[in-house]
Amino acid sequence: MNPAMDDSIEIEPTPCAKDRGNDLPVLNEILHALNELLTHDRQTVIDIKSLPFGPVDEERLSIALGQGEVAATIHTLGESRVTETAYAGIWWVEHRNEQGAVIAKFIEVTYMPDILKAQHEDVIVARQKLKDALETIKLNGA
Amino acid sequence: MTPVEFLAWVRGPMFQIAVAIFALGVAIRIVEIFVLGRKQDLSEPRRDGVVPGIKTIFGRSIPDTGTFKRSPLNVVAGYIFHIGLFTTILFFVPHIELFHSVLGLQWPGLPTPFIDAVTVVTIFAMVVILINRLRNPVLKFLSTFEDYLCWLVTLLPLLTGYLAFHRMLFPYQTMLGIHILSVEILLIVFPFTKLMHFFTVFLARWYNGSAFGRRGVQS
Amino acid sequence: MLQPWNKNGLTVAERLQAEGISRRGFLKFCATTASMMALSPSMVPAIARALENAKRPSVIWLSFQECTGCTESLTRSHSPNLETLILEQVSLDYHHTLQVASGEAAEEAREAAMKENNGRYLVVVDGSIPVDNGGVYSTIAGITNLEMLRETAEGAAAIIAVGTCAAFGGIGYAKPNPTGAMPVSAIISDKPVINVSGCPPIPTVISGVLAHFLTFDKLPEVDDLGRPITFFGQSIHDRCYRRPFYDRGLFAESFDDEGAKKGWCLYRLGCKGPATYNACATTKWNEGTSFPIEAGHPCLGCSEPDFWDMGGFYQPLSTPTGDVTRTLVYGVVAGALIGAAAGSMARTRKIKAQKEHYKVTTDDLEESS
Repeated sequence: MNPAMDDSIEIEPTPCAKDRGNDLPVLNEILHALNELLTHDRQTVIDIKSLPFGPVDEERLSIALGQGEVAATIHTLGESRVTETAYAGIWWVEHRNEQGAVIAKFIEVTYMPDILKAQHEDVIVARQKLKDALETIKLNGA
Repeated sequence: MTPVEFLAWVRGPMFQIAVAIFALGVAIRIVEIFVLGRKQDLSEPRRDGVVPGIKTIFGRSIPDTGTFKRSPLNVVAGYIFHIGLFTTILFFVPHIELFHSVLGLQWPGLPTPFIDAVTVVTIFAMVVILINRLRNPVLKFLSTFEDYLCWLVTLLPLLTGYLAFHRMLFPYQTMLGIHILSVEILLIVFPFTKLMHFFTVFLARWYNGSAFGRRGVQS
Repeated sequence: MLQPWNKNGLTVAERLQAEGISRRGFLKFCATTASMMALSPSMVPAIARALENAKRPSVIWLSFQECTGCTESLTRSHSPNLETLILEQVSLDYHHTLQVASGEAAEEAREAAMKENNGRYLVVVDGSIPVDNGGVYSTIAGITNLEMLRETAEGAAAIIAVGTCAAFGGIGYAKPNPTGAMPVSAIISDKPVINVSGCPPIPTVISGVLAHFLTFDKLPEVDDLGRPITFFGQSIHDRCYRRPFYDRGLFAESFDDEGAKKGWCLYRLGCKGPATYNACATTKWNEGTSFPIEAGHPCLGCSEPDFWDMGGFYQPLSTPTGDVTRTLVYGVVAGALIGAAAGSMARTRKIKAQKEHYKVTTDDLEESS
């Protein structure tokens, strides 16, 4: 029998993430970032891809940070999700491409992630669009 | 030479050269000592020399009170340095892998942070020994170039090993290469200097112990 | 063969705008681009400014003495995916494996791209270049690799040597190097050459370097070996999630022992992570799923020069590469023989001296004086 097919071989589902403790330095970094936000109004963005994580380290971090009050979805160039963690000011920002694959993931320590705000350039376009829409309504109404 | 080429050279041809010189030199000296033999002692032995010989091999590892009182620092630092050196050489896991690949023998290693601490203590002890040598007028007068050379070639592997482990000073490949090269220098210098005491110390003790024993003198 | 985008010369920002993508979408694009280039998220505003003016470069991909593993790797790029990368972000005008054209039409496409974008196009090379006997060991359309590289590099803005073969010679260059294989940098010296090493390189590292050129119109900063520092600045060991085990002295000693099952450090199984600089430990492979060490296999050191000739893959880094045991045994035996010979000679001299010894009387002394 092919050993790979043998059900009796048990594989540990979460090999020792606790032993490694790779999530602890990140939590410390986030705490430091919260301090920076409160004392110097400086925001921090951590790219998850830059962290030396092994299996389930990210899950552990995610569990440690928990879930907060805000969850938003942005639909542009694929879906993006912005969720606040159980700790106010700490956010997960996850970008997916049109095919639904995660292409970037960040932890943002800020009052509000920039990507949630309406962008100046978009507002200018919006003003024009609304103007045009009103014109159309007026024209149609008249 | 790029760091990678350097590392390949010290792990390859240079290692062979160093081991060849070391093995050849040490074997020549030890075998020569045995073949030369000692002048036959024609006197009637007061007692057999074997037991006193063995006793002295071990007994001299304990410093006698007189020596200890005269230079406690040298004795203590000397002990720390020798034990530390052996601990780092023999019980650091990458070193065990080296012995395993060359001699086919292996044994359990010690935790890396422990080896790390021992290295620092050993380097410190070596510095104390050097300062003592320079400050003590008699010791300084007796010291030759060879003494300082032996000190240096012994210190370098410890120092460069510490730097390589902590990935300091140079990129790791270069630093690891320098560390291996420093050991190769130690191996090459070894048979030509008093570093040979690693092999001869117990021979000498045996000779003294058994000779004194035959004469009925304590050693 | 040129793509319409290249001709109408839209910048990235303009293109996104034309597609009806919002500024927010552009921000997302910048953030993911920063992540792809392994740049700090604080670089996003700078990237946004640069992308306002960035134009899609023409790329000529030359495959020489290679195994197509690098291209295979690139096709696994997910951020951006291959289609986005070669159709939207760059204009891939020549690539054996991916282009539709073949034969003379293919070579025409290369020549057309070179002419059209003279001085501005990007050349990507994978594979080493054999130079022995005039480079006859590898030819394309009757042109030797050596000649094609020189000719194509002439009007290039920069060259990206993709894969360890193009960067450092790779397996072709390994002993005994029967074809006289050379890396790109040994042949081209008058153009900026960047080395994206790895066997193969991480797909997102290839696309990240392309994105950097697209964004900033220049190649990223490089290390001593010409590799982009953002991806090759740290060793596998420095960023390895198993590093805590190394520090604590917990090692797997075989592929199926307790340590291996517990995911301990693979140093004793020959891991070259401490001496290997690459982004595997953080960027990872297969959409960020895993990397060799995570799969339980020691790092081979494939992004370093001469990795084929650095001793066995499963030989620990701290061990010598040659047969030192033999040297040791021969040394000891030879030393013992020489020592014995020297010792016996000295002994013989001593015995002879003893035999020749005779007693001197006062009469003898008187006689001689």
